[in-house]
Amino acid sequence: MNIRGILLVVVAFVIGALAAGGIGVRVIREVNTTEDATSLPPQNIVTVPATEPPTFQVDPHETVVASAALVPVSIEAAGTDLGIGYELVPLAPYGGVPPIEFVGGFGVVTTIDAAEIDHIYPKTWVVETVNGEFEGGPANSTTRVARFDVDGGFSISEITGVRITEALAPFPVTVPFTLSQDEPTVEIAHGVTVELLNVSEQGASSIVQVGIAIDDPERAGLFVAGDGPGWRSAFFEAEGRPRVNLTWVGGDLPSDIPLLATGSVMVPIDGEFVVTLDGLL
Amino acid sequence: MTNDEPRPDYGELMKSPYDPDQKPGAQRSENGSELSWKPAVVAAALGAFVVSAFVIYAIVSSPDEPLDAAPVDSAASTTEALDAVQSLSLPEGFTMVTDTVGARVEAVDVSARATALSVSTAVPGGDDPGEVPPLDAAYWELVLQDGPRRMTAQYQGRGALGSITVGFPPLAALREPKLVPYLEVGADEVVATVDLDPGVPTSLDGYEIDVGDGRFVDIESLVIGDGWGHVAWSARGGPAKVETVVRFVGTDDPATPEVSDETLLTPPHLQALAQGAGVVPLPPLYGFTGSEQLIRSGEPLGASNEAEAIVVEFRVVMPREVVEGSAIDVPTGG
Repeated sequence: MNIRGILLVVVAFVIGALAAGGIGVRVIREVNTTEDATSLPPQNIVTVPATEPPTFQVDPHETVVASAALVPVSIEAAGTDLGIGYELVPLAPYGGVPPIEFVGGFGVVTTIDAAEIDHIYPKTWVVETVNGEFEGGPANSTTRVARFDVDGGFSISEITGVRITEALAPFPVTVPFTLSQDEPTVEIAHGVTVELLNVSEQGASSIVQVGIAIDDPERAGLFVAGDGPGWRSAFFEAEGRPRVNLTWVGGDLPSDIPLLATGSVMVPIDGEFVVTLDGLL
Repeated sequence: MTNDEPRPDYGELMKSPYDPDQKPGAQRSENGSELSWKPAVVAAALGAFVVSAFVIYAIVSSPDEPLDAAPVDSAASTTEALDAVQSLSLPEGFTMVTDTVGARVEAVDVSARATALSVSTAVPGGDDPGEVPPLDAAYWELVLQDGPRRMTAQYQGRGALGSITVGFPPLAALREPKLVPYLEVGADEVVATVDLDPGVPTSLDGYEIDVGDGRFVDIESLVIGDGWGHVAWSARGGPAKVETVVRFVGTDDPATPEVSDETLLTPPHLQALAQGAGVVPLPPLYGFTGSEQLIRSGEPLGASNEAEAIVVEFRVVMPREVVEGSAIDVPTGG
């Protein structure tokens, strides 16, 4: 073998080593990557979308408030009345959650799917025009039209902007508290008070009647029950002012009556939210 | 040309390097010397073999070590990747806390009774929220400048789907707080059964349930009356979910003799329709302590519906392992 042959052997050795090295580095990375993926906590594993992800959640003209997307669907002006219709699309996960079943009068059961539950309450809106601002909003949390009293002869073309200035979202609460003859009223949440209305003896039982007063019924849905051993099931009277009748069978009724409020209250969502009407004008 | 003249060697002229008589693996150089490919091929194979052996050794001997000389902060890389994805697919301000759900703290309520954080959750854009289960954190910590505080409780509610309220002890001031979820990686379930004498009222105190690996649930008190009950428990070695069912064995509803429907005491969420409340609540989330009223279903106990025995079933679920999730910003009002 001459010098060229030796050189050829050396070059071939290097090429073979480099080729195997390149493959090897890739293999090692793949092996390490696989191990990292299986050992990483699930919250750190992210599937990178193959295509360009959307810049909106459900609609290009949406306004996201807390965990819901508000999508304007209509706008109409008649006389001094301006109405902006909208849909609320939940963004919060609810997979596997069964529908709500309400027991109504005569035992009639009403079913509400989880997706139909109000995820936010866009309470106060402001319409900006070239001639000033008009404040309005939906009549209640289940309404899907924000209404405004505008000047006569108002034209939709005058609108320069729309924003939500007060938005609320329901959050669960569980509040243990006590009532007594000395302290018969307790505020258990902002704008929600519970009052001891009456205590009566019935054989070995004590009947405790409490009232729930909510400044804005749209802002809370609460139920009060006994807390701790000695209480039978509570019964709710929703006619007029909400009242709960509780039956204590645990012996002498404690002077500080232990109770538990559960349900949800509307919490203000910080900030103002611009509503885009581009798809309607 | 005569027949006596020597014939030219046309075969030599016509010979091609690819002719069969050419030595395989050999080629003539310009100066006519023969170059063999065999040593080169063997050398290349040898080089590949040597490096492959090194690669295999590297994989086997140090599987956790990246080959790159530069240290790689995998956590930082993961966080950057998460940031890149969530900024495009989650609503503004949400932080991806699992691979399917993002969360944001909407409000903080500090009172003399407790500190409550209102947490919204959302799925990334394009995902169907009806196909994604709600966030079910093992527990949460509120990280403050002087250290973390562990949650006292977390709640979900029927009227606030996808929203979670996380409770902490009363806190005077929140400086640069972060809310950190801890997520279960697997869970173990144990069903413990206790037989009690049939008479009511009766109670069970100080009953320990061993879930394994240093995890326990202590039933601190179970009180059973004639149609009512209450249970209180605490967990050690991690958070737990506890469901308690009291069976009055031998009871039956005479109105439905074709089926055996015992009188039971259960938590409200296990009832077909909670009595009085009108709405079946969602089951409790993980907690370190818990207490629940037990509500009767089935025929009331009485002379015509007496229990022969009372069997209490505790279904306990505890995470096998928890991992720290991404920290979430907490608004403090400036």
